[in-house]
Amino acid sequence: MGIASGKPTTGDYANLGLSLFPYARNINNTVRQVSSEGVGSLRVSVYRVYGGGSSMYGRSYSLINPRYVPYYRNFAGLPSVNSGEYLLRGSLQFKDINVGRLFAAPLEGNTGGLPFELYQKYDQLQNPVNLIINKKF
Amino acid sequence: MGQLNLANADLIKYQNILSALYNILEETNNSPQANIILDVQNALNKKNYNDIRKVLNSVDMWGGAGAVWEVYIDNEIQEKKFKQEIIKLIDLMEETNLLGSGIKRIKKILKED
Repeated sequence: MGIASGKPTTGDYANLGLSLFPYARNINNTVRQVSSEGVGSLRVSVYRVYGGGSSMYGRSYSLINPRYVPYYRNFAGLPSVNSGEYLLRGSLQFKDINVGRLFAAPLEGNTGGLPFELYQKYDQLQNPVNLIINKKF
Repeated sequence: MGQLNLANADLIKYQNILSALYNILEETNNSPQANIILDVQNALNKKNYNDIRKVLNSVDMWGGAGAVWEVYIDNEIQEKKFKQEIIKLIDLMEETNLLGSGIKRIKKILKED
């Protein structure tokens, strides 16, 4: 029916909207997810810079995308064994988020201050993927 | 500054905890972190106040991904032992007035875990 019959329906307008604004589909899915499972089931992206002596299977994650933080190594307090070659992104359910330190600690060797340092179990991480980075952190 | 005035009993406690941590890290294939522990042990042997304070409170020990405290240990028994030793180390650092800022929180996290 719809456009084929010469008179667009509400569904046609919705599909047109989704094709113009693909993010709307995600929002739509998110709303559906929240209404059926509650806010705790919402997923948020988390990040971990690793490499060298730092494994991808650690406990420290960040809510902040390191690609948007200059001097990330210093603010996040990456140890010298971490070569910063890789960036892992995964997602966590809202209910699983465990904020370890509100801000990365200023220790001997770094400034600290990066907000929301997460302390998670690796099996809580969903859909982990390595992102392409242009240069080491 | 200069020489650290740690009692011999405290030095022995430090060495015992650090040795336990070293062994767990080596057994669980976390050699880079085990080497960090070796650096701390070496500083303790030299008894230099500045060095000991620096290495004990370093970003290599308590920082983000790859630091000693946050290392992933697959074996549950070893992981439990590791956490206990880390908590003992933080307690001892506090007792001997060597605990830097931001580290006490780690003890709370590990206890709640």
